[in-house]
Amino acid sequence: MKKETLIIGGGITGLSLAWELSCLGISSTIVEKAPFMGGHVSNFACKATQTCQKCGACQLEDYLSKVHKAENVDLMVSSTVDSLTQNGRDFKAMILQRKSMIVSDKCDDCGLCLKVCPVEGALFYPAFDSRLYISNEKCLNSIGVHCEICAQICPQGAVELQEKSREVETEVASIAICTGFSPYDPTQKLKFGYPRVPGVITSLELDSILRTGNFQSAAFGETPKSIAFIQCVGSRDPRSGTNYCSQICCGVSIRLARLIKNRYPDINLTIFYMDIQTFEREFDRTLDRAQSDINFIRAMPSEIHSDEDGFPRVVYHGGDETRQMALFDMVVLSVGIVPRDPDLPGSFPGLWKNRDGFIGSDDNGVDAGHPGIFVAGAAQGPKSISACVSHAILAASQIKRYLDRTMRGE
Amino acid sequence: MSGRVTQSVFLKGVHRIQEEASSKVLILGGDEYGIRIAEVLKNNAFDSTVLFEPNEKYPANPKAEIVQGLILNISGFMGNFSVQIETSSNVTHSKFGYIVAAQPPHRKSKINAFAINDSKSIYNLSEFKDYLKSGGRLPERKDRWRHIAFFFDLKGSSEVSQFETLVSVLDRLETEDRLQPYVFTRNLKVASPGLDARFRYHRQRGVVFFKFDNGDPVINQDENGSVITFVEPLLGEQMELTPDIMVFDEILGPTDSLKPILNLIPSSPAFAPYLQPESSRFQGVETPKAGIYAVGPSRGVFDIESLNADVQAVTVAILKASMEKPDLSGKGVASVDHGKCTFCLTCLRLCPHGAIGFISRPEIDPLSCRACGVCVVECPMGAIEIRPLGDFTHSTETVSRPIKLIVCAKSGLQAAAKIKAGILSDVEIIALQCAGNVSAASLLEYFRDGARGVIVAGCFKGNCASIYGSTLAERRVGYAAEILNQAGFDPERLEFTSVAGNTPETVVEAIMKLKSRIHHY
Repeated sequence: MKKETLIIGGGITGLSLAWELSCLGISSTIVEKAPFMGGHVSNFACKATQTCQKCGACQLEDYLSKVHKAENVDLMVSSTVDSLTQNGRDFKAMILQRKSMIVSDKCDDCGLCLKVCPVEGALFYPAFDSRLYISNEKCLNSIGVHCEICAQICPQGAVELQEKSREVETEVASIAICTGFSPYDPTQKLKFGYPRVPGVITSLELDSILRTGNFQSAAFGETPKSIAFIQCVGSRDPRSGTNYCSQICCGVSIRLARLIKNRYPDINLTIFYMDIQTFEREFDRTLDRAQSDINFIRAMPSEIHSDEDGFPRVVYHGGDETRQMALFDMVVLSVGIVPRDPDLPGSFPGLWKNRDGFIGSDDNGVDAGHPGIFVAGAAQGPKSISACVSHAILAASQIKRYLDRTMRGE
Repeated sequence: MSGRVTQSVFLKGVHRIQEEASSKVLILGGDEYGIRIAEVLKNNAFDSTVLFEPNEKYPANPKAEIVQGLILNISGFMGNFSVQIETSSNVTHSKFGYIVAAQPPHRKSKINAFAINDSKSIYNLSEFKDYLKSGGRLPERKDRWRHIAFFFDLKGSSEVSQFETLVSVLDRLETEDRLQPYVFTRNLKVASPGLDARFRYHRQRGVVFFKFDNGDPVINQDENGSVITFVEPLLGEQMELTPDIMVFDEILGPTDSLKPILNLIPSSPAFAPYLQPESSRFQGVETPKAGIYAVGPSRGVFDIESLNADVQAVTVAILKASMEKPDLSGKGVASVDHGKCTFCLTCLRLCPHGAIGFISRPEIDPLSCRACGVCVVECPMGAIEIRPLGDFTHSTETVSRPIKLIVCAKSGLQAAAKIKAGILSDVEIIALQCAGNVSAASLLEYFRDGARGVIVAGCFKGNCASIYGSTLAERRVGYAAEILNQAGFDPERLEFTSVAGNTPETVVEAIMKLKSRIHHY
C-alpha cells in the first residue's frame, strides 16, 4: 500500500491537501486520530443568515465527499503514527489503527448499548453527526481491558470490537504535518471566570451550540437575552505567551453575532474588542452592518464575576478611564489559536518551531526544514478555513515539486 | 437584432473546439509577481508571456517573455483563448490556453478624503516607502523635534498589508534622531504572523498611537503648513499637532484592466470589480470560467504571504486543468439541439461560467461547462439538454415515494446524507449538479405524476457555485407555487429551502413541515 504522501491530521487542511494531491496524480494516506474525519471544523455551525456569511465551514463536507470518491486517497480514522523512521530518501511509518467501530448501516439507534456501557462517553454522538461512535480514549478495550458488553447486547450486530490495534506499516516519500491548532485554554485566565462563572463559555462552545440546535437544548435552560463577546482571549497577549493575533476571532465573533441576531432578533449583543481585523472584501459595509445592531466597546475587560443572581458581570474600563460594569446572560470568550504539539515520533534534524511556537517553515511557507517533510494549515500558524485550504494548495505544489525532483534523482 | 449587439456577442464567443488546444499561458501583471508566476510555470513545462501595461516599468533583466501593451479583446475558452494586444508598434493576435490576472493592485489615495491639498510634505504610504527606499531624507530641523503623522484605517477600512508597510516604514525611521512619529487610526490590522509584536515594539519605543472610535481628526492647511486638530480619545482633551510630514494609507482594490476578462464571464456583475466571487466555492485562484485564474488583488488578496501562495496555486490550477479531458460523450455536460435553436442567444448571455460561445451557432465548451443547467431551463425553445450524471439517476425503488426532495449535489445532497433513514422513508431524493437546473415545469410534472409535496434544497445566496443558480431556482419555485395556487392546490406543498452541506436540520425541518401539511389533506 505504498503511498507517496503521508498526511498527519484529517482536518480541513489534511483533507483539502489530499484532494489537491489526488488531482495532481499523487497518492496519499490520511491518518486521523479521532474516529471521524474533519477536525475542529466539524463542530462549526453554518453561519448563513438569509445569505452565506462566507465562514467556509461547509467546505469540509465538500472535501469529505470529494476525498471519499478519490481513488488514490486512503483514509485511516482512529489511527496514530506510532513510529517514523528515515529510509533512504523515503520514510517508513508504523500506523496504529483501532478498528473498534459501530457499523452505521446496521445501527438503528435503539440506544441499548448506551445504556449498558460501563464507561461514560465511551459511546457517543458527536455534535455534528447522527451516527454513534466509539471513543478511542475511553473505550475499555482501547486501554487494554477486555469488555464486550455493548457488542453482546446489540440486536443488530452493529458493534465491531477489536481489542488490539491493527499495525499498518507503510512507506512514503513525503510527509505533510496537518495537525492543526489547539484553542487557547481560558482557564489560564482566572479573572475571566471560566468555567467557574455560570454563563461564561468559549466561542467554540457557542459555535457547537449553534451547530446542533438552539440555546434551550444546551445546558443553559433558556435563550439568553444578552450576550457579550470578549475578543483577544489568549491573543495579542505576551503575558499569556501569545504574542500574535490569532487572525480568525474577529470574523468568528462577528459572524456568530450576526447569526444569533438573525435567529433571535431580540438578543442584545455586545463585542468587547481592541482592534477589529479585516476578514472579508468590502469590509466597511460588513462593519457598518454589524455596528448597526451590535454594540461595540473598545476595552479589554479586567474581570468577569458572578453577580448575586448568578449572571456573569463584566468589569471594564471605558474610554474615559472610569471603571464600568455590565451584566449579561451569557459571556463568550473568543479564544485564540495556540500551537499544538504534532506528536511526531522519531527525530528529524531540521524541524524547528517559529517564535510563536508553531511548526516552522521556510520562505515558501510549507517546507518544514527536513527534506520531504512539509507543514500546512494552522499547524504552521493561525489561519482561517479558507486560508488553510489555500495553504494546502501551496503545500500540494511544493510536495509535487519535491517528488518530481526526487524522481529525477536531484 | 441590432448590428452593434450582434458584433459584441460574436466577438465574445469566437471559439473553435476542433482546433488543437494551446497550453501557453498569458500572465497579466506588471510587477515581480507576474514574472515569478512565469518562472514557476516554466519549471512545470508551461510557456508563458507576461503582459506589462504601457505605463508600467519594463524590468531590466526580465526572466520571462514580456510584451508591453494593452488588451483590446479576449474571446474563447480554456485551451483556445484568442487575445488581441495593442503594442506601441502594432496590434497582435495570439492564442493562449490559459489566462492569469496578476496585475498589481489599484491604489486609491485617501488624501482627498481628508479635504486637503496634496503638497510637498504629504505622501501616500506607498510613495513614502519608495521615497525612503530610494534614499529620500526627512527635512532637517535644528531648533526642535520633527513630527511625522501617519493616518491609517480612517476614511475607509485598510488591509493588513498596509499596516505591514506602515510598520516597516517605522522600522526604517527608527534610526532617525529627534523624530516623533504619531499614528492616527481606528483599528490596527495586525492579523499577520509577527506583526502584533512588531507594532508593540514601536509603541514601547515611543511611537504614539491615537485610536478614534468616532470624531476623526481634522486637518487644516495654511501657508505655514498643516495643523491636525483632534480630541485625544483616552483623555477626551482637544489637541493640536503641527506635523512636518503627513503620510496617508491607501485603499487597495483590483485594477480596472480586468474589464476585458470580466466581460468573458456573464455572471461577473455579481462579483466585479473582482475576478473571483467571494465564496468558498472558488478555491485558490479559480474563477467561474475554466482557464481563467485570479491572483492577489484581482481576487481581493493583498498580503505578501497569500500572494506568494497564489503564485504557486496558479501552477496547481493549470496542471489540474491540463489533466482534465473533455467529456465528449456529453454525459454531464449540456448540449444544444441545433434543430430547435433559434439563435436567441439567451444561453450565451446567462451561462454563469461563460461556457457558451457562438461561431455560426451556439456551442457549449465541454471543458468549461459545469452542468449547472441554468441554460437548459432558461432556453425558450427547450433546445438544450443535460443528461444527469451517473450517480444521480432515479432508482425504481424510490420513484413512488410521495415527497420529492430536489437537492443540489454541492449542498443539499451532502446534508441529506446526514439525515436518518427514518425521516427519509417516504422521500425520493433527486440530485442535480445545481439547483439552477430546476424548472417550474418539471416541478409541476412531479405533482402531475403523483407527488404530494416537493422541496427544492439549493445553496444559500452567495454560496452557489453557479453564482445565481439557486436564486433562479427559488424564483422558479415561486412561479410554480403561484400556478398551483391558481389551479386550486395548496401552494405550500412546494417549498424552496436554502441549505449548506452542514445544515441537515434545515432539510429535516422542511420535510417535517411538509409532512404535517400533507397529513391534513
